[in-house]
Amino acid sequence: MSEEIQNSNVKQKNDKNKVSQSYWSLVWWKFRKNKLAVVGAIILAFYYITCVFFAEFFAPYPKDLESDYLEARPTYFQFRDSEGNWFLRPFVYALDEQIDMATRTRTYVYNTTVKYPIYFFVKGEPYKLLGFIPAETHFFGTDPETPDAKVFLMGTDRLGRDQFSRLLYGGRISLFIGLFSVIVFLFIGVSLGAASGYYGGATDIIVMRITEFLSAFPQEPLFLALGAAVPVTWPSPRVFFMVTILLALIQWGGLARQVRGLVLSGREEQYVLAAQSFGASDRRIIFKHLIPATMSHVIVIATLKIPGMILLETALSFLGLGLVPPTVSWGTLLQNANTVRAIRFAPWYLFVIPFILFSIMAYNMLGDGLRDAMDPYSK
Amino acid sequence: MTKETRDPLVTVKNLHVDFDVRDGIVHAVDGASFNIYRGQTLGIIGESGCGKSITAKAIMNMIPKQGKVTGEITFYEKSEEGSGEIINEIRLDQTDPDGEVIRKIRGGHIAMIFQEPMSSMTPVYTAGFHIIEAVHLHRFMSAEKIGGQMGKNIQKKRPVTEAEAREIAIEMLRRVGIPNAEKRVDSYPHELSGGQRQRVMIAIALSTYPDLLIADEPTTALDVSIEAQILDLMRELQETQDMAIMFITHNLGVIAEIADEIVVMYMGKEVERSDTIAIFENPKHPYTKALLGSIPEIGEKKDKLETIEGMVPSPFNLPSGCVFHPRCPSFMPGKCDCVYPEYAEVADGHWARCLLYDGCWPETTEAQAVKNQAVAAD
Repeated sequence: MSEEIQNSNVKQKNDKNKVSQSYWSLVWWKFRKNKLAVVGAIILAFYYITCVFFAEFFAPYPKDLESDYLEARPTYFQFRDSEGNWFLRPFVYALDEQIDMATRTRTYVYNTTVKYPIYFFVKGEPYKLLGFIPAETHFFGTDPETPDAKVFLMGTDRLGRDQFSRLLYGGRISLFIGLFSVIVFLFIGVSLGAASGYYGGATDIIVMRITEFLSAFPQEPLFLALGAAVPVTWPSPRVFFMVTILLALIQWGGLARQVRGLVLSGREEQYVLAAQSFGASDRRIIFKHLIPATMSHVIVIATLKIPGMILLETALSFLGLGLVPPTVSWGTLLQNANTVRAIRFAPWYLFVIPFILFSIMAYNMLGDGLRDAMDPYSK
Repeated sequence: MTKETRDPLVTVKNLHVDFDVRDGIVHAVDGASFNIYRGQTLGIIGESGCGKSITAKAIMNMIPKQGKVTGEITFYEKSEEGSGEIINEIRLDQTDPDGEVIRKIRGGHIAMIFQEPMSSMTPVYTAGFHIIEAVHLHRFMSAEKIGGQMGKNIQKKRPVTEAEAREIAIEMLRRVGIPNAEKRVDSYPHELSGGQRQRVMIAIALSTYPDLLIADEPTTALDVSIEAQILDLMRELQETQDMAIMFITHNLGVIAEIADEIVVMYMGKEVERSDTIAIFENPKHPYTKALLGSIPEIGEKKDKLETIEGMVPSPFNLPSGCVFHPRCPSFMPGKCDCVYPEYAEVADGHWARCLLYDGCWPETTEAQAVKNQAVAAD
């Protein structure tokens, strides 16, 4: 027992002689105990690594590479061939095209006699990792020596493009748009809310009336109108930024109100008076004393807002009013699945749904965990 | 220091602060005039809500926007080179409340300690951060002399670096008697006890070497032994830094301990002003007498403690004439309720606002009788 105490003493001493744990280490400690939130964080980390940062590496093909297989069914990894032999290395079957002369539709069937083994870290199409490191290694793929070999993990679309690769690339846009528009959203909401709460008077009245105006408007029609106003002739990066900003512009009202409330109560605290009495300027008081006090609240709102932004972008792109092809996002990929014909004959278009679903769930799990961990009053 | 050689730091002349609220106008401060001298302590006493804190805030030009300030508050800035001449007279009441000038003075020349040390620190920052912030804003290090060949010694000043500010913070915490200052500098406010927080507040206020420290009931929230330590500390620092203190309290024991001169306020009005000994030995105004009379004496058991009769009047409906007359034991009918007393020097350096000492008004026989009685009792 005494040894244990000694050990813990030594441990404390080694910990940079810290008197106590900081707020953030307490948050981390509490967060770690929430298994669901940790799972959410891990899923998200996985998403961001595979989609946002290294999509080129994880996708076997570039997003625009058109193959000869049009609307081909997925070729899944196989470990056991038709004769019942087990293989350690996964393989895929070749696809044979069949035309049904009665319905005049093209279908593909597995050719179980031709097997293409799957290799990891294979050479493929050259790309630039993170936009500047030239590379040509892909995470998985077929033997580059046999150009006929193709692997379509989630099928192909009407132009023969690999759906799996496109989902990864689309995730980059959709996840990034969620993050980026939340940053814009935070910037507008926090600064206007803080100014409104701190200065009061005319500033407060104007900002609050704008938020009321925005919240009185039905959001989707408003966005549809704004989305329709984005010129179709614009290049896709510009449309992307426009959509991001639009998402933030119609959503900031709620955050501004909450920050205003927090700042309003914070302003009456004596520490603001004390800061003033030491010659701190208004800007300093707002940014150094009031906003940090609202941060735990704001971070949680932001985390829970990201999935909303992703869904909104997806919904709008699905309706053809947000991003439009050739930009690849989950919304534009979902557009492929908007006919009964597509669902009947090419159900692999629906693979985008679990992608969206899991990312949204992960964000919500993370957000809930953060809320519990950051609330200083929760036990 | 005799009165003639006293060195004014802040002079307040005929200060009025009015708040226009829904129910009418509140005269929070109604004609206060006093001087604060370098290296001396001015005590301000009075009941709750009598305008003590508002006076302090008026000096810092921190009256909320709804308040209207009239009168003159002048700050005399001395040159730092030690020649001691006054280089600048700043009218604090005329500065822009968010402007550069007043922000240099706040914290830099006039620092303030608040009533509640518990809530005067931003909860998300450490004790050290608060001191470092103040030091960053107001303290400059004199760097090497430059331009010496040009005949003038221009002292180049630079802001303190992060490491130096931290050193200063630790040093200040040590000076205010916080044990283990190197560790405590990283403590959050909730990890400190009330006394320690108040010490940290004092450390923040003193870290910039202000000319004037406004202490707004700094020991109210503390227990007696800590209170004594804090008072000792303030007095010690006052001696070493030649700092003036404006000490606001309703605790007469504390004020007797620390103040050189005392201002007594009632309902926003300055009713008496004199040096400490004269106030305690020979109070002139009936209100001061009543206040002193209501201190329970140690070792004496009374059935009932002395109180001041009546209630504090509503600020919207002040009594006519002298505002204290409904509660005054020396009330002179026909005079006190009709005539507003002028501030008069009743003895050498002893000012009081009371009709007992004002001979220029026609007196009724009743008034004469009460007055004679009061003077006889003196």
